[in-house]
Amino acid sequence: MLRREEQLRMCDAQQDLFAQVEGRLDMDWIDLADTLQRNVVAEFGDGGDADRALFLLRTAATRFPDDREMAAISVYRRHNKARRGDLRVGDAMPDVTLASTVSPYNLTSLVAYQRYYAPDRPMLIIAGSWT
Amino acid sequence: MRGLATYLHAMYDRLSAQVAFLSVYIAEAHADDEWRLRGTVTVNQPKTTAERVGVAHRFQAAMNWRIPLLVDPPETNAFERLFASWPVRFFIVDARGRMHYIAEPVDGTYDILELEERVQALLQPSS
Repeated sequence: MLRREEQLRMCDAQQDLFAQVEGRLDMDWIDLADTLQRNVVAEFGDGGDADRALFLLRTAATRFPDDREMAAISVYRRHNKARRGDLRVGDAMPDVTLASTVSPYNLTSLVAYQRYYAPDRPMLIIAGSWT
Repeated sequence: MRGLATYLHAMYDRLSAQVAFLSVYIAEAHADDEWRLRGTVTVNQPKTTAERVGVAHRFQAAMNWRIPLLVDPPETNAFERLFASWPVRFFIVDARGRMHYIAEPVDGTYDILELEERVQALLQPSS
């Protein structure tokens, strides 16, 4: 089922569907991925509890943590970097080196940036990417 | 960040006199050579700072992104590692340099209204 899901997820037809919902407010690609997984469950299922089968599909890699193949089949297992992390409210903001967007770029300290631009006011940090 | 660009810029225009805004360009969420997700933007995962700076610069131009932007160098991805910010995340730092708010996603998304409420609350005289 995981292999079939990966095959369908990466095919041109499915990728075209993902592209078609970009910018829509009523649905996004996650809704399409949900539908895709439900279709895979139906394809392999025997008419039993579909929600249970869907849960098993989605948690397969977690339930078999030592199975390298299981962990590597799905794109969202290979490349999902999302995690809660260790940073907590009340911690000092960690210092890191960041680059400017001018070319050639300069390097700056995040803490130095905060002390210069927000010495007496809060700072909102928005982290993300184009994609 | 592009899905939230309109709202974030509206917030930036309303609050930037009272709050410093900083956007940080981190690893692509859906690089074409990793987690492919076809859309209007196709970007491979940058491997060097120069590459990511180039992508960030294109992003700024394409999105008319006006919020100050710095780039997390991909050689270390230090910001992403310490802030656990992938694929997108919001943080509020108080004037003393302490973490005041770390957004937590619910069902894979963020309550953007809560973010502004948190900012507004910090601006109240009693906070």
